Amino acid sequence: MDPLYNALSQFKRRNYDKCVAICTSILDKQPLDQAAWCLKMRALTQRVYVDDLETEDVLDTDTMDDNVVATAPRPGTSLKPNLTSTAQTSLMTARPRTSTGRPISGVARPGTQTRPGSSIDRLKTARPVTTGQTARAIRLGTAAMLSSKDGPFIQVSRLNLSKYARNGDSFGYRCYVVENALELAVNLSKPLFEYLFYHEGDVRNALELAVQATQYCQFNDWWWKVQLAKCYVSLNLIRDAEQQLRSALKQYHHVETFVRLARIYVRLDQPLSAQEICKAGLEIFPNDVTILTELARLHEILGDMQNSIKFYRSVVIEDAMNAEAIASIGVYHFYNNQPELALRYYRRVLTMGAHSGELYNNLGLCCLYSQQLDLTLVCFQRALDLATDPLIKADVWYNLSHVAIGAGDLHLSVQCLNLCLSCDTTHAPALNNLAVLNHKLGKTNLAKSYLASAKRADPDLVEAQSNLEYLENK
Amino acid sequence: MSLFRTKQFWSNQCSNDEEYDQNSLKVSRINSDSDFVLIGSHSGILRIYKPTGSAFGENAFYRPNDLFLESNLGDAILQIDVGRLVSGSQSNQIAILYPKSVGIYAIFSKDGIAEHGTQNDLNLVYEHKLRRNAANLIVGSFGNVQNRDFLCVQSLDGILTFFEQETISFSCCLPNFLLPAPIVYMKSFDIFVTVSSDWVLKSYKYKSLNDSANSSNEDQANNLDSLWEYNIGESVLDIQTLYDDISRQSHIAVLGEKSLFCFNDYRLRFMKKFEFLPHCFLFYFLDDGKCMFLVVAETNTLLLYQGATLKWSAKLDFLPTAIGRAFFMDINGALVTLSEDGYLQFAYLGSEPNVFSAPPLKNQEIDFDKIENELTTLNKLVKTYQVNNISLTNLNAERELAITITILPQIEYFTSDSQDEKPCCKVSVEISPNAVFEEVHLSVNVRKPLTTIPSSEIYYNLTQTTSFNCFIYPNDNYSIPTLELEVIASFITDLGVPRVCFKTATLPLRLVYESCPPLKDNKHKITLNLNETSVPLIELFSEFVGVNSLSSTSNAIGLKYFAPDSPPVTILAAKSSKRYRLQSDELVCLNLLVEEVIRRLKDYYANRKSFTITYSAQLPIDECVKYVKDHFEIAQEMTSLQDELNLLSTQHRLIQKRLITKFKQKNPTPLNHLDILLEKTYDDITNVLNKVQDKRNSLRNAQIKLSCILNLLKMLINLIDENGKNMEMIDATFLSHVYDYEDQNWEDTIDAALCFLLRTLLAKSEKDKLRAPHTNFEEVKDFSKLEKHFVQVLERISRAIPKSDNNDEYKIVTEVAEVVEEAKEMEEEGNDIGTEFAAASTRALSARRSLLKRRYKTDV
Repeated sequence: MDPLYNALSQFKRRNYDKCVAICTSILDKQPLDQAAWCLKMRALTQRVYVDDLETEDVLDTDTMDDNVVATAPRPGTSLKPNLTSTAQTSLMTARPRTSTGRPISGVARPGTQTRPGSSIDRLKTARPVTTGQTARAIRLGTAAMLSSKDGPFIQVSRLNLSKYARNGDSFGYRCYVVENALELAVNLSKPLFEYLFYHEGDVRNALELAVQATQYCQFNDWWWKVQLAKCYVSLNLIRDAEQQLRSALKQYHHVETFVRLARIYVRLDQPLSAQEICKAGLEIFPNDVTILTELARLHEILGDMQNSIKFYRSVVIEDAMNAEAIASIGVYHFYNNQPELALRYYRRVLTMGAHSGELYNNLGLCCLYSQQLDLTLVCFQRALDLATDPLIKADVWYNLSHVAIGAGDLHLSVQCLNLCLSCDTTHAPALNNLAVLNHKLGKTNLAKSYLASAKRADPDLVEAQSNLEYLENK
Repeated sequence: MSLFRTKQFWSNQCSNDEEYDQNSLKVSRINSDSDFVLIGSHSGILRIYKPTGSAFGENAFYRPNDLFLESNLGDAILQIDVGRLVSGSQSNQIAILYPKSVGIYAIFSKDGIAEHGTQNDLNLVYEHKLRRNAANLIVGSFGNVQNRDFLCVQSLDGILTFFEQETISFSCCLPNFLLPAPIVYMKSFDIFVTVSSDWVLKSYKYKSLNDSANSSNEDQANNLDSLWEYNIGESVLDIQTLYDDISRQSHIAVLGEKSLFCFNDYRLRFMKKFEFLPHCFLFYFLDDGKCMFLVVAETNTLLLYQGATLKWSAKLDFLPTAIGRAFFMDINGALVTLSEDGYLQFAYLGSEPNVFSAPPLKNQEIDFDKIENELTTLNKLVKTYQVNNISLTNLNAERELAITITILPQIEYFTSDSQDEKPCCKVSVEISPNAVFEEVHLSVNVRKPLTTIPSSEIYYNLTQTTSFNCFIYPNDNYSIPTLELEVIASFITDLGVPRVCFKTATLPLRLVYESCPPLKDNKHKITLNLNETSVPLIELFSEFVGVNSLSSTSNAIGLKYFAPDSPPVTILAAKSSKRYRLQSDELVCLNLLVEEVIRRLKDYYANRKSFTITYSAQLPIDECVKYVKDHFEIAQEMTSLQDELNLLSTQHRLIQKRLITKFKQKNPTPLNHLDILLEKTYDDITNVLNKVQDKRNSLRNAQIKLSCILNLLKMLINLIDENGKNMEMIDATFLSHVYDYEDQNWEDTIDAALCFLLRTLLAKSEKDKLRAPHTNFEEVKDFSKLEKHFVQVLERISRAIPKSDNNDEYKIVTEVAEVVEEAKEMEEEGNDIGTEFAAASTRALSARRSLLKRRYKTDV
């Protein structure tokens, strides 16, 4: 059997390592075999590929950001937390918020679950924000490991990008074995772009390639425009990205393009425009799960829970296995004082095969509030067993302290809270509750100091502030 | 994730080490009324299955009879297809694609007497040799021929070779080809649909392919025009086409790497973006015309879509590489799945739940009494944890790692390139581990202005005694807080427990002081009283014997920091009166020698327990306040410089931002001298930074001086307070380490500490104690307040201690002497002698009077 056929077959079966190995041996023999070169590039890309639509980071507001339209937007038109909180219905105020001031979502996505002050997770993603050299989507570590074996597969600095972009004329490129010009006319630019963007994380060169390629095809290929937008977004050139995506949408309707454009408007803090885009997308792709989910998320971060749940429900009608939608509906019911309903949704997620500390924690809480006390402790015990992340563990202990309060065992509750703090020292609600309990036990000074630290851990925590005022005025 | 799992009714592991891929499976009726399942491995073995048993009941498993045919064809089988490929025959034959050829086989059976006696075999009808390595195969009635099928083989380098049954028809070349992609034939339009390497879906008419092959002009052959194009923008795993007889529409389904596209007569009907990685798919119609998609996700899940709507999802037992749908005797539309290693399974969706059982918790029966006991002991542990922990670990730590410090007594001299010759002292630290340590970090700390090189070292996997050598030398600054040397070893034991070991030693005095002729009179004096006979200086400072005529008879010794302009310190020993007096022009210089004298005396009288040293004069409050004030002022200046820097950098950023917006604008506008402003601000920042640097140096000097003073104060207070009660708190207040943090200066902390002392330990009345405790640390802005607190504390300390009479007497003497000396100095200065002298003498008189008063009081 032809080794190239074998490599192709391995690629189709997603055995990328084997595919890379076969391609390498082909290239050892024939360094100028473009097909093998392209296949190896594709396999390397696929190995590290992550759906960058799902992993996009929500960036903090930047002082140098001059894309912001209004510094003081009207209520309901901005994602900034302080302004939206006034537009909240009273029911929703009980829902905890994330560090960026958004309501906690039913599903852990980037930027939805971080709690204020927990510098641990900032350390986890301590990546340079401003450099254009690293694609944000790249999996840390893997790329370096892959290419370090015997020198980089493609030396990006030596690529003659303008020749690639032309896609048809004679061009030269360098292979890792023999640096020799190839005089062949083959279509390599798209795989090469993906390789540069996902595998190398070299946004600047990828951008250059995309710019020349889109020029070469006389701006007729929507794909290059979307890729350009991707590069611009990671270089924080939001407005340019918007332009590219709009132009791509004029040529071609693609679900991903709609979602990307909506994301751009989220970055620009224009949630209403983002919603408009999503709705336009829905007219072309009716009931598309991806767009519906995006719309539901948009409503969620705006604090418009009713509409968000409406969209999540349509997602579930379309795709009954969508864990995000089910979990979000569950969360909605839970914070709407319907723990029994929430419990049913979470049980559905559980039967679907999810098995995580967070889920058991939520199940435990639902059991607690729907008076199914016999299951509560079992669920929390499982949650503790499964939770590896100290932040999750802290939350479970915090919830357990509520169980203890419910049972009237203040000392147990204090101990739970202490354990919570041992996992996460900046857990402000735990500090606040500890203060309240200590005040109840007669240790006013201790309570005061706990409240002070709660305030320091989260300056926006209203409870700590008002408790502190209460104690001061007494 | 899924609620259900597929229900298997038949399965067979075809072989042990053969490989299969997407093209290895073909489900076809061939020439019968129910489906055969054809599998060809990359090792060249063809197997044809036809389950004979019922899907339900007891026979629902693989029986040897189910294997219709098994044959080793010798070469790797790339693809299998079925069609009417033999001219003149209406029956179907099997086409098998090998890397270098394509073979057409007919099946023939020899009936036996019993069912299992039937013999099936393959008969090679004809074979086409291929010149290029093949990639895939298409069978179809190209050109809408009736009742027969043609063959098309795509080679790995993009050449399509067409065979009209037994004869070779033509070859043509696909334009812009790089890697072979899936290709299908659509009967209704007579077109071939494939994906080019720039991820565009293209379709070619059979006729135009034929034309391009026949044209003699090569350019024309290359410019093969596609009938229809669609840019789908991702690489394609599979393409399938179906013709809907009811609506007379043809459908193309394309499975991309990220999404599924469905086209309906050249128009996009829908697309669906997947949240998972698809592996393979199957496109089919139900009887009522609904188009269904079976998609296998990489998470072993089978998803069934009707259009874009998910209808069913089921867990699969393994990850199939190819999927098909077969109609058997009594079951329609069975799922046929083939894994990469040849596991063939027939299944139906069923409603068997995918029971996920969480692993059981380790929950034993709880003995409540036992648990309660454990809880109480644990609670006790928790309470005592913090108290015991530190001492316990350190005790162990010292046992595990022994540190010995050796300070070589001789002083060496070295010259660094920039500075003069300096004395330096060699210190060697020996660490001997009693266990294996993963990592040991050893550091030697001295207080500024002393410096040590090198200051730290890290050892990995320490097993044997190792010594660490370093040199310590002083800097130009003549005030030295302490000569103490601290060695810290932090290490991680083999159990992974981090530990810390401390050890201290004192550096020799000769490192910093040299002897000089003693001076008679100095500005600052400190007198120490002993309750034993004083030790001759020659014994106390034996290392300075012989230099500057220090002999056994001399009762004064002069010591001087080696730098040229440093003030000397003179130590006087009174032979009869059990006293020592230390005097110098700078109070800061006294610190070290007072400490040294006390230490040496204590060493000398180590075996006499009753030996005490006392200090009874007034504490040098004014001097201390002066140093505090110096430090405070410099720190304030530092803060204001930092504020300025902050302001300037904000300004710099703002200008930069303005510039960026200006540069970003499409229509260039004049810069309005922003560039000059930027440059100016930058220069200002540099200037301020230089100033900050200078100020930092002077702040460091002030810190050192202040810590000298604090150390001195602490020692003197220690001497005053003989019985040592309350010393702990006062010691803690006058801690001789002075730190200035970014947002908290030393003054801020000391003020809080002083206020605390004033309200608790040194409270004048009960009322003071009742006042609200001063807990917050506020920034000290007003120095007079701090000064007041400082003086108050020092005064109350010296007042709080009862004094004996003869101490008082001595104090008078010193006080009077001081006053007189002062007067004398002024006389010498010669300015307004008369008035000054008068003032001085009245002061002396009043001092005496107050003393008399006090004495009278004590007598009464």
